[in-house]
Amino acid sequence: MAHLKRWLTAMIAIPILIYIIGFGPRWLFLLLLLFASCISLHEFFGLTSPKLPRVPRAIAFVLCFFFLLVLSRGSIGQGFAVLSFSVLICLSFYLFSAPGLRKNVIEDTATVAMGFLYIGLPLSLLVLVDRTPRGNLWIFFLLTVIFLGDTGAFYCGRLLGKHKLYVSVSPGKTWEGAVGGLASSVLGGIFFSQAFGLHASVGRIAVVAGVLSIVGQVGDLAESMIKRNYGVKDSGNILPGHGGFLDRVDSLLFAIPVCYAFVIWLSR
Amino acid sequence: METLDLQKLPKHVAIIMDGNGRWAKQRGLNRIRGHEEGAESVRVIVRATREIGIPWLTLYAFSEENWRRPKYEVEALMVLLKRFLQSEVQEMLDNGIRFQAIGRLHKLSNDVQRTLRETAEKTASNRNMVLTLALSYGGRQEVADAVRKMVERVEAGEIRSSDISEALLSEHLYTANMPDPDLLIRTSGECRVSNFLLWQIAYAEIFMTPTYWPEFRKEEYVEALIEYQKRERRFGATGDQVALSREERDV
Repeated sequence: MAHLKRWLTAMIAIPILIYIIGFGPRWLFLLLLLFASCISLHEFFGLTSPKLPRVPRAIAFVLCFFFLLVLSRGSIGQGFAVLSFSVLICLSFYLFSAPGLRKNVIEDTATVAMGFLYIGLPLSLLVLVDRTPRGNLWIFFLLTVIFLGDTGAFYCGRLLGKHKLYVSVSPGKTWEGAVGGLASSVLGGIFFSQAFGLHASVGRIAVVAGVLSIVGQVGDLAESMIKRNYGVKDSGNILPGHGGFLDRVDSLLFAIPVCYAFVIWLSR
Repeated sequence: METLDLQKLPKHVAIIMDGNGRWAKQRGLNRIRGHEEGAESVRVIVRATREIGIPWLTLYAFSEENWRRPKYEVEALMVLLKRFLQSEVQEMLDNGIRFQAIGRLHKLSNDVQRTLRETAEKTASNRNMVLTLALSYGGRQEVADAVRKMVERVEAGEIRSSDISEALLSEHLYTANMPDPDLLIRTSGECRVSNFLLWQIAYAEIFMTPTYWPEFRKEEYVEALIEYQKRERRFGATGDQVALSREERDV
C-alpha cells in the first residue's frame, strides 16, 4: 500500500515539477524552491531541536526567502548581507528574550545557521543553475539522475541486497543497492542527455551522472546519520509513501552544488 | 496578398535584434531563456535570407555597451554565441554562406575569438551570402578606429590629409568590403539606431516593428521586405528624377 502511494505521489508531483521548472514563470520556480526549503527546514528543526523557539525558526524561513530573492535579482553580494544579518537578528532576539531562553543562544543560532547552510543554500543554488544556457534542462537532468539513483538503489537493494553498506548509520542500505543506484543514475543520465541533446560527449555525461549519484548517496547517508543521532526513522510525512520531504531531497542537497560546478565547466 | 518582388530585393539587410529580455520578462522567464529563443530567430532569419536570395545580412548581436549587462548574462550570451556557431557551421557550408564578425573582437574571450576565427576560415570560400555578426560593436567606436588608422597612414607618409574622403573613410571601417545596408530592421518597438552602423546607414530604409526579436520570424521578415519594396528610394534626388533614371535604365 505504501508502495502504491509512493508511485501515485510521484505521478502527481512529476508533471507539476516539469511545468514549473521547464515552462512556468520564474516567480513560481522561486516559490517552489522557497516551499521546498521551508518544508525541509521545518523537518530539520523538528529532528534536531524540537524546542527551537518560533522566532528563530521564522528567521530561518525569512532568510531563505530573502536569499532566494536577491540571488534571483542577480546579486550574490547582497546574499552575503542577508546571510550575516540573519544571524545577528537571531542573536538580538535572544538578547531581549526571557533569561531561561538565553541559555540556548549558541545552540539555537547555530541550528538556524546550519539549517540554512545545509538546506537553504544548496536549494538556492538552483537559481544560478537555472539562468545558465539550457539551465532548466540541467535541473531536469539532475533530478532524473538523483531520483533514478534513489529508485534504482531501493529496488536493487530489495531484490539483490546482501552485503550491508553502513550498518551503524543506515541498517537497511546494502552495497548491491548502492551499485544499482549508481548504474541507474549513469544509464538514466546518458539516456536523458541523448534524448534531449544536453551534451555531445557521452563519456563526460557518464562521469557527471556517476559523480552526482555518489555524492547524492553520501547526502542520503548524511541525513540518515542526523536522524539516527536523534532516533527518528522518517523526517516527516508530507509526501504519501515517501516518508518526509527531507528524506526525498537529502541526496539532492549534496548533489546541487556539484551539479552547478559541472554546468559551469561543461558549458565552457 | 502582396508578394515579394525578387528583382527588387535589398542587397544588404542589417538587423538590430532587440527585445529578448523583455520577451522573457513578459512570460516571467529569465533573460537567458529569451536569448535562447532569440538564437532560434537568428537561425530562421539567416535561412530565410539565404532562401530569398539576399546576399548580405548583418546582425547586431552584442554592442560595445552590452558589456555593462550582469556578468552571468554576458557569460551566457558568449556560450550561446559559441554554440550557435558550432551548430550552424555545417548549414553555412551546405548553403554557401560566408561568415564574418566585426567589432572590437579583441575584447571577447580567447575561446570565443577562436571559434569566430575558425568559423570564418571554414566558410571563407563560400559565395552565396555573407553573414556578418556585429560583436562588441559600436558605430562611433568604428568611425574613431577608422580615423585613427587614416591618421596613422598620414603620419607614416602613405597618404596626404587631402586624400581623406568619404570613400577613403569607408575603406577604413570594419565594413570596408561590404555594400551599405539598404534596409535596417529594428525589433521590439524602439525607435533608435543605438550606435549601429552609423556611417553606413546614411540612406538605409528603416523598418521598425513592435515584435520582440524571439517572435520575429520569416513571415514578418518578408513583410518588412515588401514594405521596403513599396518605398521610393531617392538618395536626395526628386521623385521625377528617380522615375526618369529608371526609364533610362530600362531603355
